[in-house]
Amino acid sequence: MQYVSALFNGLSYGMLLFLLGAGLSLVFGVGRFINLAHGGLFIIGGYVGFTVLNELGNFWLGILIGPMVGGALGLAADLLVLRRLHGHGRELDQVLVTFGLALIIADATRAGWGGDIRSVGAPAPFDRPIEIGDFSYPTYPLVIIGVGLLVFGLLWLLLQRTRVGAMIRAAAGDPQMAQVLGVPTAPVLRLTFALGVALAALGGVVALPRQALAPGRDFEMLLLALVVVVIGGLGRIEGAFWAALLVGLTDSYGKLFFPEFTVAMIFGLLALVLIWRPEGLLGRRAV
Amino acid sequence: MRLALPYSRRPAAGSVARAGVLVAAAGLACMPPLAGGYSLHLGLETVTLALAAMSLGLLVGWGGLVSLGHAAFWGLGAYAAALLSTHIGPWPWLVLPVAAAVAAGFALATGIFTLRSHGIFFLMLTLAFAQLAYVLSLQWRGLTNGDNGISGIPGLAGFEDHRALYGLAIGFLAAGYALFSQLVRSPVGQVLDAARQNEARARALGYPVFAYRLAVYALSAALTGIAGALAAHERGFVHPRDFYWVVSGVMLVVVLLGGQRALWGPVIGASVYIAVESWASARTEFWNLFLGLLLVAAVLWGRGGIAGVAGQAWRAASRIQRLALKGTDAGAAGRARV
Repeated sequence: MQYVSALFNGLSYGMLLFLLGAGLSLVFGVGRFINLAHGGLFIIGGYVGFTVLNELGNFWLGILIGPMVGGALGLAADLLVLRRLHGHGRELDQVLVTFGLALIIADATRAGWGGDIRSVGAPAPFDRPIEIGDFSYPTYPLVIIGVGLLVFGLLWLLLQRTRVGAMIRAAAGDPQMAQVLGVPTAPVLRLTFALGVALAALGGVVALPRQALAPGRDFEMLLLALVVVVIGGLGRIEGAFWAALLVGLTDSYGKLFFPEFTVAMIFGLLALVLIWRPEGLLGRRAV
Repeated sequence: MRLALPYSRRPAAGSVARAGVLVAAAGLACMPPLAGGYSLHLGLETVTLALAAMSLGLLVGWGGLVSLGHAAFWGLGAYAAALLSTHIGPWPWLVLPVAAAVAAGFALATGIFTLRSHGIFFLMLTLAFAQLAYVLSLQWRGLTNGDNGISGIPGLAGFEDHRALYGLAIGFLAAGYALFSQLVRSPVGQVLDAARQNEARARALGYPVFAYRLAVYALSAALTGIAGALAAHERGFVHPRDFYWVVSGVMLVVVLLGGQRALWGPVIGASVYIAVESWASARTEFWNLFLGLLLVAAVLWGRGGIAGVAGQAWRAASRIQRLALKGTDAGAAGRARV
C-alpha cells in the first residue's frame, strides 16, 4: 500500500514541479533567458496565500490572489528592469539581474514574514483522508494533481488554440521573423513572463498545505524547476509536464527506498538524460 | 568575425592605468595586516574571494563560460582542508595540493557533461552540479557532519599566524595572476577566446576546443579550491553554506563589479564587495537585499565594471591632458566634449 501512496505523492509533487517548470520553460522559450527569481515567486505566492488565509480565513481566495500578486510583480519587474535588457546577447545580464531579484525577494520575504517555518492545514472539504478498506490517503494531494492537470490543459489550449498562443509560439520559434511579420514581441514576452511567474505563485499557494514555508525553500524549488526544465527540454510545455512527473516519482519512490540519497538520485536522472539526450527528452535542438 | 587582439597588444595608456591601479590596490590590500584583528580578517576574506573570482573571471572573460557553480570548487577545497587538517594534519604541502586536486577532479568529472552545453545551459548545469555537492555536504553526515559543519580546524602549519596566512594568500593571488596573464596570451588562451567568439570556426580550424576548455575549467577549479582551503583555515570552520549558490553568485558579482575582461578586475571587485558587505552587514541582517540591488544596478549602469569605468576615466583624462597641451581653446573643447 505504501507503493500506492508513493505513487500519489510523486504525482502530486510532480504537478507542483510542473506549475513551476511550465512558467520557467515558457519564459525561456520566448525570452531565451532563465529567470532565477522563479523560486522567489513561488514563495511569494505561498506567503500571500498564507496571509490571505490568516486574514480572510479562506484558502481558495489565496489561490486566486496569489497568482494575481505574482503576475503583477512579474509585470512590474519586466517594465522596470527586464525590459531594458531584452534582446540577443544580453542573456547573461538577464540572468544576473534575476539572480539579484532572487536575493532581494529572499530577504524581503524574510523581513516581511520572518524566518519561522509556516504551515497550514488542508482546506475543507479536503482535510480528511480517503479510506478504502484499511488503506487511507489524504485527499489534498489529489487536489494538487487536479490543479496540475487543469493548468496543463488550459496552457495547451492557450498555446495551440488561441491567437495569443500562436503569437507566443511564433515569438518562441523565431523572434526576429515573428517581429517582421507583425507580432509585437516585447508585449508578448511581457505577457509570457507575467503568466509564467503567476503559475509559479499559483504553485506556491497550492503547495502550502503540503510543504511548510521557510527561508531557502525558494532556491530549493528553483533548482528542481531547473532540473525539470532541462530534463524536459527547454521551451516545451509537454516536456516540462512529463519531466515533472518523472522527477516527482523519482523523489517519492527514492524517499521510500533510498531516503538518504533522494536528491542525488534526481541529479543522477538529470545526468543520465543529459548523456542520452543533451537537448532534453522532448527538446528539439541544442541552442 | 574579427578575432580580438591579444591581450598584450592593448594600447599602452591602458596598460599603464591597469598597472597603476593594480599597484594601488595591492598597496591598499597589504595595509590590513599592519593593524591585525578584524581588518586582517577582512583582508584575508578579500584575497581569498579575489583568488576564486579571478579564476572564475578567466572562464567568463576569455572562455565565455559563465559558471554559476564555482561554490562547488570553493566548498570542496574548504572541506578537503577541514577534513585533512582535523584527521591527518594541517600541513600545507598536503592540504593545498589535495584541495586543488579534489576541486579539479570534480571539475573534470562534471565538465565532461557541462562543457558540452553553452551559454544559459552551461550556467544551469554548473548550478545543478554545485547544488548536488551542497546537498551531499548536508546529507553525507558521516563525512561532513551535516548541518553542523566542521569546526576546530587548526591553522595551516607554518602559517598559524594569520599575517603569514595573509602573505601566503597574496602569494597565491599574485601567482594566479601571473599564470592567467600568461595563459590568455598563450595559444591555449587565444583558442579559448576565438572559440568564445565563434566556436564553429575555431573547431573548423582544427583546434581542440573541448579539451582546452576542460583543462582551463579544471585549472580554474583548482585555484578556487585553494582559495576555499585558505578561507577554511582562516575561519577555522566550514559549513555546507560554503557550497550554497549564493557563494557562486557572489563570485560572479565580483567578476562583474571588476569588469569581465580584466584579469585583475576581481581584485578590485572583491575589495569593494567585502568593504560594502562588512559595512552593510554590521547595520542590517538583510544584507542580501542590498547585494541584490547592487547587482541589478551594476548590470543596468555599470557595463565593463569598475575596471571599465576606471579605464574610461583614465582615457578621458589623458585625452584632456593632450588637448590641453595643444592650447587652451582645444583643451576647453576637449573638456566640453568629454
